[in-house]
Amino acid sequence: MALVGKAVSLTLAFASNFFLFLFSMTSNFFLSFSCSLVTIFFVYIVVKGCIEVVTELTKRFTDYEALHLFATKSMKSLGRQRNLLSLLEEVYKTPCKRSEAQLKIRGIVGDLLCKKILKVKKKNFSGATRLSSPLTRLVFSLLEKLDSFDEASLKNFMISLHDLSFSLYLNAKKLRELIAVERLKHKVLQIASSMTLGFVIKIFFAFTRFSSTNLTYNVLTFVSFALLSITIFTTLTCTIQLRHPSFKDLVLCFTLFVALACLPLNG
Amino acid sequence: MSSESVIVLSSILMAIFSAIFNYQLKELRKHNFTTGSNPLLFKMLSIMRYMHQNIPSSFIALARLDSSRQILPSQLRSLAWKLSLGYGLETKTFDLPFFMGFPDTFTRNEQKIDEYMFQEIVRDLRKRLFTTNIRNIITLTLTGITITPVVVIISALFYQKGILELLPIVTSLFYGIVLQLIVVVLKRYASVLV
Repeated sequence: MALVGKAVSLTLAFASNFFLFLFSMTSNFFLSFSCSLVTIFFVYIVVKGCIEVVTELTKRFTDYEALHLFATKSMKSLGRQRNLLSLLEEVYKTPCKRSEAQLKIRGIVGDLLCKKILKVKKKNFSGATRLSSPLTRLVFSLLEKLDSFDEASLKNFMISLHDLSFSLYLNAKKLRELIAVERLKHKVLQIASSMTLGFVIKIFFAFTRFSSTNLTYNVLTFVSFALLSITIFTTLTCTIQLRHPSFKDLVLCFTLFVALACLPLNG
Repeated sequence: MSSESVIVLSSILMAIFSAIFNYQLKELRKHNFTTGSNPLLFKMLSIMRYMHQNIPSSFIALARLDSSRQILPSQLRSLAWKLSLGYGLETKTFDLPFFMGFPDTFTRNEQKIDEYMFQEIVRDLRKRLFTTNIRNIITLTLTGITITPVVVIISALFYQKGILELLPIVTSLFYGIVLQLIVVVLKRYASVLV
């Protein structure tokens, strides 16, 4: 719900900039308003899609890390505990962060323990239908069937799982590093572009003051155009950094833009 | 062209770019963000093969999963089912991008799989060299995107009216380029996700 609210508010910010820009170009209110309405609809779909993708990919990373944690813990326990029941008990008692994937693994293990000790089947845990990657879904379904493994094959299974989860973990780590580089690059570009635009508008404004022709009308158009460019760039490129688009970045860029555009030339 | 028609045209362009982007995102999500052949998928298949040799019961259990729960993609279910019955596998039945690039006659011949995995590693190394170039291209595009409004504004100082009428088109193109850039980067991320 909060994400939908964020998508709506960012779309409205986008649409108001777009309306300001169109209205500064033509005095036709009806045309500007109807074009902005169409844009609201399409931009909302785009921003919502971006937010969903970021949420899904972030969940996938958490899944990988949870799987790696589970496999590592199981491997450690396997050395001490020789039978499946005591191994599961030790894994179940491990404190875990309240991430969805970790809770899901804990749920699977708890379910198995219930089946083994109390001989009752618990109800399916809520996370069972959650979207995840095909690989983690496969591993989760294998975990659910842990009780069908005999003691001898359990060790092989855990070794395979550890091998797999380690590869996943390394991949996730590699990707996180890649994203960190992209994030830094974008942050610098966002700030630099808003400062440059502010400076150019300031020069333009000074030029109109000293020139003989009246360019004030054009200054308004360029200011709204610059604001719209900053909004497009800041709102949408957050997806590249696998972050939800936020008002914080937008406000920072706008402040830098306005500060550079409005400060007097002589300081 | 009058400024009114340029405004309408730019709105239509923005709508088209949004629709294309939405379609591309849907396609990415439909294939679970898995594009092309991924070294990790081969590792998974290799592990499944290994598990089959040691724990056939796991595949029997997998094959008996209730299909209504949709835990497993149908291709993996089919793979598990065939392995559990000891069938040789043919990739013709696996048409997802998931299994793209897999040898035509996938048998449980270890040597063949090892050879194939070696080829994948070589391909991965080549891809890394290519990735550096992709990163440079993305940096250049981003810089271009940042500079475009500045160039337009400076040009407008000298040729005001003509450039002013083109600004909505420039905005919609800028919007389209940013959206395509997002798709390119998401595809890059997808190449290391499973």
